[in-house]
Amino acid sequence: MTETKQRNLYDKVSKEEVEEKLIEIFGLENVTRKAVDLYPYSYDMTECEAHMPDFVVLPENNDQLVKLVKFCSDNAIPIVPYISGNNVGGLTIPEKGGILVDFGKKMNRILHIDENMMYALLEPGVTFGQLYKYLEENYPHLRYSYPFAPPYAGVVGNAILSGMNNLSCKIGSMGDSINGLEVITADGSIARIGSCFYGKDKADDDSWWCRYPMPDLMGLFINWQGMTGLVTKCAVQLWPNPPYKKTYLAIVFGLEAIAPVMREVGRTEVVDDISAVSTEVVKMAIEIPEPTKIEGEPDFAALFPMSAKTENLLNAKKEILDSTIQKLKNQGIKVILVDVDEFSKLFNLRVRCYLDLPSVVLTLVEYSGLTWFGSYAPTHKLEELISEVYPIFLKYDVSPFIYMKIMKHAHYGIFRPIIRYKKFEDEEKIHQLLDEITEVCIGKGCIPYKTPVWMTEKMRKEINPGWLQLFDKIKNCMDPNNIFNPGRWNT
Amino acid sequence: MLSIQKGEDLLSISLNNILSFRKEEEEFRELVIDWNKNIMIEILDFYPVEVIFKGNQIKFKTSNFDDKIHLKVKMDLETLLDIAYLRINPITAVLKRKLKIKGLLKVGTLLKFMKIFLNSMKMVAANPNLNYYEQDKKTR
Repeated sequence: MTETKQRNLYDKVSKEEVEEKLIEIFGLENVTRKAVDLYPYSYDMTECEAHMPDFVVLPENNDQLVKLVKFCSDNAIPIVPYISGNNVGGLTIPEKGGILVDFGKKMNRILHIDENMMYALLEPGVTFGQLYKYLEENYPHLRYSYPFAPPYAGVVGNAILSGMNNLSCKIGSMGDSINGLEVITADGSIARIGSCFYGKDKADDDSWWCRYPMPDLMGLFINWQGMTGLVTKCAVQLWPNPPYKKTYLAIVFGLEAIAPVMREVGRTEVVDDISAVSTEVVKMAIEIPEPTKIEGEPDFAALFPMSAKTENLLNAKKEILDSTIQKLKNQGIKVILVDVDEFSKLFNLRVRCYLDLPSVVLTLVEYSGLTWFGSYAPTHKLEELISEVYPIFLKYDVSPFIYMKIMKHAHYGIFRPIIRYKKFEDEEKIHQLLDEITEVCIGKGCIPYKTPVWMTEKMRKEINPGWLQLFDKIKNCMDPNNIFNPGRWNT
Repeated sequence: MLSIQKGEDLLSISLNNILSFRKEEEEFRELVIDWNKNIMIEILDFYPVEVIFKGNQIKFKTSNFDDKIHLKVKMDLETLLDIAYLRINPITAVLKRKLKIKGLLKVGTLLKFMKIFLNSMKMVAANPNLNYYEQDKKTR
């Protein structure tokens, strides 16, 4: 049962006055304080503690948001940005109550596609499914990069929180792919960051093409979980959509053997993405209720999507992939490489939910509860991470779901143990499990992203004091009244 | 009514997928119902799976195998895919020792195995559909 915690938000202005102001700004039909409307915004799939917002508003434009920010700044009322609530970190749970701004309903337009400089200018509520369909229908020669996330998850949230998608082995974190941002800061001013910074009132649609070489103010907003301002526009890079594509699947025997396979293939620079999942994750997709691994089964499966402008180029890339795999075999690593289209037909087409992105992996969310330790990881520690985290799952009698990626041609990696669980039933046990995993992974240098508050609390104990002081200084400077998503990162 | 066990290991899952493709086919049902044979399939690097045909049921075992195995087949995953996608025919695979069969002299059992397994594999492979949600729901 979720309850609004005791707090004293309305000492400067009464809740009724706030409601009146919100209705004045957004219109009656776009404001609610009914518990039945607020409840869905009070929790997410994780075990993070639920908390009700006091109001939900549906903005349509910047003028409304500027008025809101000024009003909330004057009265120290929290603002929590929300898109579709699909994050796995409690990021939009209103820790301190306040006003939840749901961008997903009305600020969800694709404002411009620039074919020449290959970017899309988006409002915060645009979803992956929406962008995918729009590009396919109107700009089939361009593509975006999609995550293991449902089509109704938000593109901008994923980008500004440094998510990773199915071109990540080429391009790295999605945060690196942002060309420009428009943000409303705590004093209610609108700042445009990136090459779109020219122009007093408005930027040309074709001016959102780069973020350099001026001081990169983007860092004031990327990964801050909405703590420094409200992002109202975001330009994300697009890429040519090559006509020749093929995905290969590496089946790897031996828990730790997957690590060198991922690293070596990543360094070849021929694959678009590398995603590896434990065998239990493969079985989950085909509706095995509590998947376990039997003796003799492989331990991991890794997907290597490749693309090319010509068939010859694709074949050449395959040749490099084959020789890399052969070298690994010569080193004694047991790995089998197959064409995933061929394999999935014979094995089970349901595993294609990991290929045809964005997609909902229904079995992953079927118990309502989903949580993780999603982290950026040093690739040389992957072996240790796998061998130490896998037994923790078994200790708690939970199927070991491990998901990993290699980013930007093996410059860094992603290590992501995932846990689905029965929400409201198994939360305590699952939290203990996740807590143990977190201890191990942070100890090995992993940096969690989209972090819940309890996790940043643990991180703060390990982070150097200089960083923390600078972080706190910037937060205080950007948001002196602590109105933007307060509580995140223990602010 | 033909019943095919839903496997919980990777190879049984795959065998279920392949055999279920023809579950509603009359000719296939005639082949498998009351065949009453135990076939051992081993994919190199993986593990052996016993496929049990008994009455109107097809079941899979990965341990505690029956003493009586009527046919043993061994190949690697690449060969399995090569046969399914017609890059090699089974006879050539046997001659090249890529497909090893113990019980070659049991001609009737061998022919039936080929009709049941190899033909089904080829049919699944030839199906152009790559979308799970467009599969025939009656069978899979």
